Amino acid sequence: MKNSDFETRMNAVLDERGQLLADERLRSLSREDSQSRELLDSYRSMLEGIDSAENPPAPKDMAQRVLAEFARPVVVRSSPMRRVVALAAVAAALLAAVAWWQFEARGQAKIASTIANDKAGAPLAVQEDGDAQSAPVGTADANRAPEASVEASTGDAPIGTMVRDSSEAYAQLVRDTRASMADLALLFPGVGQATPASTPKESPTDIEPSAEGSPPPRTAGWLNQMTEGLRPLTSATSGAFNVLLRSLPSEANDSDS
Amino acid sequence: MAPGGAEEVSLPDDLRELVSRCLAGNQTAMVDLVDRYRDMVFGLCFRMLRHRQDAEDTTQDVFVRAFRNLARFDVDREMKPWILAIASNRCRTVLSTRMRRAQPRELVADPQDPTPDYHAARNLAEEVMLALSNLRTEYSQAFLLFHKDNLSYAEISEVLDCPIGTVRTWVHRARQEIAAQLRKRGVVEESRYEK
Repeated sequence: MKNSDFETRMNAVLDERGQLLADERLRSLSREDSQSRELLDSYRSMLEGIDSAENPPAPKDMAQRVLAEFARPVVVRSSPMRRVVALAAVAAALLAAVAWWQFEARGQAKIASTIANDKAGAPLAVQEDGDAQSAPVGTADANRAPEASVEASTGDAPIGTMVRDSSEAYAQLVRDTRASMADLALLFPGVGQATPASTPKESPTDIEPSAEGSPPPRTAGWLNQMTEGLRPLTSATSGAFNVLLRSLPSEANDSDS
Repeated sequence: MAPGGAEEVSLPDDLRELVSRCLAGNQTAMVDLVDRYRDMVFGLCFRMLRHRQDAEDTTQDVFVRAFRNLARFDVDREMKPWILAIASNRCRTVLSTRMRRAQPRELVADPQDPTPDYHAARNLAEEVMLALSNLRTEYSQAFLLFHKDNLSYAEISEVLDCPIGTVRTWVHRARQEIAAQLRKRGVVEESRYEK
């Protein structure tokens, strides 16, 4: 029998808490083989040694010591790793807060700068008495008189000022849209009229001047000289643009009627 | 003690009541609980740490932790493996963080005790403990829990929180290495067999 098999056999006996010398198979093998006998003797010595190993009794006052220690308040000692993790978390939070603050500050500065630029380019500010002055419809280039004061504050403007600035920006957008529409009149007769032309023949070839000081009207009759088939398209498109124009906020001095 | 197989024995009624009284803060019950498992826990700590003072401190720590976590103890399970698991973990922690003060000692005969058998037995025990100290912690723990505390493989697996097969392997390897160490040091007692 190989030594490994012999040891396996010994382990099986010991796992069952049996006696090694009480196993006949082990005894007979150890008698026949010196190596097996040496193995058996070493295992037996091991068991004798562990059985005779001192097992000193615990202190008699162990219970009292335990109760005294248990009664003490618990002191939570954080391990160095926990402290490192906590510091890293705080640092990450601070970094995120600084990055967010920087992002917000830049965003505010950008908005304020945009508003300031719009105000600098606005022709007129909306006055409290309601007199709105804007470029009339039909003019190709709107006069842009920078009359409004520029508030170039970066992020410190009060909310009311910001709302007023936003309204002015919107009003300017409307004026720009009307000015752009004036160009369309060159291509589509009837754009800018209050009522759409019912027949292509009724579409004026010229745009009437609608405000004082506006540039002289231009002749837009070249399209009418195109083939008859384009007229439905042009009249339909003119009608659509007129709908857009009518949807824009009306202005006091708008002479588009 | 059954050597193998899973044992799921619920706590005896007297022990259930003892646990309940401990949870209620009854100090007499707490003293009873400590006295019940004191020697078993101390024995394991002493064999693992091989230093009496460390073993006392660790034993105290084991019971304090047991009381602090007693509310989480499942009364449908045995208490012995649970407390030994705490002791085992604490011993591992102590071994890994402190320097071992109980260095292997030179085996010398006690001049005051003339009994040769006593010396022989004591030497053999010392040799076995010395061999145990050279083993991997889990090997020596599993070996001591089986051969000294007479726990089953199922109970040891619960204490050490590992599969039964792993426990069996650890115990077998511990036996193999201890026996090899004894042969190497020439302290094996020869058997005499009847022919």
